[in-house]
Amino acid sequence: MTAAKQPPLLPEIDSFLHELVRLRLLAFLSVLKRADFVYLQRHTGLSGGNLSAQMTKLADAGLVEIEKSFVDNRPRTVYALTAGGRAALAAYKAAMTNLLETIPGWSPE
Amino acid sequence: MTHLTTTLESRLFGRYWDDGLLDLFAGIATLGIGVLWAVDLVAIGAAVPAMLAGLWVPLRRALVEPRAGHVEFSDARTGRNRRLLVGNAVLGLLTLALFAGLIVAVRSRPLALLAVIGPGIPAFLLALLAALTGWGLGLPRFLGYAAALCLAGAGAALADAEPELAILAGGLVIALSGGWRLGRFLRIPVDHAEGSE
Repeated sequence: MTAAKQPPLLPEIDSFLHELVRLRLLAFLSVLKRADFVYLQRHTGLSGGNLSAQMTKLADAGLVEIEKSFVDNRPRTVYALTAGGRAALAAYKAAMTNLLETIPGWSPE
Repeated sequence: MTHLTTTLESRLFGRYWDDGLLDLFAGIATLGIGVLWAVDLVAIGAAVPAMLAGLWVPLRRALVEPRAGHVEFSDARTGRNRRLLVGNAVLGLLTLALFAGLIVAVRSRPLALLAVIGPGIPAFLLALLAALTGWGLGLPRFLGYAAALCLAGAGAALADAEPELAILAGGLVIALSGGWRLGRFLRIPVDHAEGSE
């Protein structure tokens, strides 16, 4: 006999999104329509390699779309949050808010 | 869904103008209006901002984007910018018409107040445009430019100087500030890292 499945005591957090660099990138893209590699690198302070690697992971997960082109003979890679990415970020925010609300507030003494 | 209220979006939008190109354009446009005013081509002066607007995209693409990157803000923000641009253009034309009307009014029936502040009125009206730009784009330094134009206008009124001197003085302040900002920005090296990603 198996025990009835109990609902989780705490909301489940998407561990893929719960990674600081990816979360920061998604936060930037959530308030922009589109941004290119140089713009994101400048404002996040990430190295080129790290930014590129994380964006590839986010694109593979379907959270970000990547568009590559050439402008004035220079490569330009533009990133935008997908509808799925927006929904995943909203769900992550709701789960994190619920989780944080379970923590009692202590007044410093 | 609008993102105008988010702090991050507002900060990013504010930084979008940090390169100084907009300040330099505003300064050159003001100087252009002043110079054309000095040679009695006031009406053509109104076309200076429109002529400069044609250079905005090519210069931004050549000077700013290789260093700061390319970004597109939300539709809500873009719509607000468009309304601000149209509002500024309309206000600019109204400013010109108002000043022309004031000149006619003063010539036909001298009014004591207008006779006193007359030389400063064009600078005051340009200050209004600068203040509107500063408020609309969230750029406090444009409120400073508005203050500089007001001071120049007040100086011209007190000294009973020609109106174009106030415009030129205010324009010089804005252009120098813009030139300094752009010069500082252009020291940022162009990042070629993306090509090797």
